[in-house]
Amino acid sequence: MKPFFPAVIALVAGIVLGAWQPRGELLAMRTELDALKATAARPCRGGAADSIRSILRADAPNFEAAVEGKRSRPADDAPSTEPPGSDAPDDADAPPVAPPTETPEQMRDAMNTALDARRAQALAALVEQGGLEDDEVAAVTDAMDQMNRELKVEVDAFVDAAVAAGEVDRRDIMDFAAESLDIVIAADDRMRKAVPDDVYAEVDEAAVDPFSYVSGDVLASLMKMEGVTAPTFGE
Amino acid sequence: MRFAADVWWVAVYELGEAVRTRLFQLVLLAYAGGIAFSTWLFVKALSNAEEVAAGTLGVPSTARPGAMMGTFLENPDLARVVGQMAGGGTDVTELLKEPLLGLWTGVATMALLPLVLVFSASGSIASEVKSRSVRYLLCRTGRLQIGLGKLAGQLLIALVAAVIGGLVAWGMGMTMMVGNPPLGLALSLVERTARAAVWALPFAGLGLAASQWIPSPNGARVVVAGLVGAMPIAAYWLDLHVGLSLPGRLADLAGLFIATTAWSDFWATDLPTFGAAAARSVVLAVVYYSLGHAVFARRDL
Repeated sequence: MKPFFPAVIALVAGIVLGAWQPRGELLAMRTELDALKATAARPCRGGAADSIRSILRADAPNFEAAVEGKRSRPADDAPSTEPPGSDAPDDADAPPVAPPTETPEQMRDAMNTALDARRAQALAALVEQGGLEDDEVAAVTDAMDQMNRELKVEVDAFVDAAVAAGEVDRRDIMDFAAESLDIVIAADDRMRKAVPDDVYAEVDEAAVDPFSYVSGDVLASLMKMEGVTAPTFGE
Repeated sequence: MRFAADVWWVAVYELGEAVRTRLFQLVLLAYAGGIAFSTWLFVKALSNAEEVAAGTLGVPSTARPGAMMGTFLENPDLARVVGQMAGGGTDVTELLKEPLLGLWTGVATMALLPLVLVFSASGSIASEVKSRSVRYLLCRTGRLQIGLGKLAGQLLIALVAAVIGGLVAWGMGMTMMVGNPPLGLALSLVERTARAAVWALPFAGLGLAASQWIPSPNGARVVVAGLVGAMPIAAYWLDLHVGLSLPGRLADLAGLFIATTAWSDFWATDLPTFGAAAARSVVLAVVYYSLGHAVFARRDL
């Protein structure tokens, strides 16, 4: 078939000629972008940007460097209060404590994710260890969903009241704990009904513990409690 | 019409011949073993990660992992790993809507399938030339029909291998893990293995080229193995020289003719980018094949 090689050459030429202009423009844009990135990455004169970042503690390495710098000059700040020859441990080699870098929203999201993962894993363990049927799994899921709904109502009401009052007293906390515990106990009863007795006795304790099934959104409103005065138990 | 029919029959003959060959059966078995091993690695890694997470959260771990997959998918580190795996410019959020095992099998298939095709294609014409059986084939059709038919046959072989690999991964995913949607995983595997089959086509073209240059199957395999190994090195070297000057532009265009540079385009979530990559793959297969055909067309058989 004679036209084969001319056809292949035409294909190659078509690719080269067709790609020449658009790839050239793409290359020019990439070069420009690289130049802009290089400019953006260049430190400002006097390191002002670094200083501001350091003051705002936006990056951990700078914060750590600042802490290290401060540690190396203790005499500049204040005279030592330790008596000579003291056996107090020298924490110069201890790693500096990093400042919290997560926002409350990020912490809430992380908590939600962890609780949801915990719930999924507990159910998977229960199914695997107990060999539950589909209807039994559905019954367990329904029971735990009901517990989470009731708990959310309880938590939201408690948080709203506490935020409105600006403080909570011992009695409020004890009432809240008692109500919540009643909900969990009722959920435990439903769990025991949903899972056959022999399975309930055999599986891992944490797989049938209703607390393993508390979902992330139940506790989401607790983030509003920041700033609310609460008593300290045991003092 | 006659030309196309001849190409089709050679392709079917190529597939039948390959499947009957003991050596190719072993290669297919090794490929399925490779996919099984990669799936086992994935399951093992996920199992270890879940065991640690379950211990931290105070819940029991499970023998079959997968319950916490949703949590891991929200991890930005995982998104970064998947992004690097798929190459730059890929929409990772869109990609992570697929089951993770489907994506992992896609990587394994794209890595292993070209090796199967290179092995199969490089012995294809060379063995017929060596045994002189090509003379009898030439009584019925032309050299180009034989060559292109064998190239199409390699695509059929790739699809057979991809189906076997997909079935292995699906079977292991459904029995060794929990939480994989049966249909979702199957569709993901079909898409990923089909993409991998198209991605592997230029390697079949290269194998056939070597098979036409050298009338010895093993010799052709050695040559093509060297060429495939040199591809990433050449791509890296060309990438170093890409620029706005004329040599830089030529280096950029030359990169288009190296099959391995299309890796990230085969992970594109938008159809035009993937379609262009698939078309480029077919063109490269024909171009690579034609390099061998230039010799085969004039060879005294």
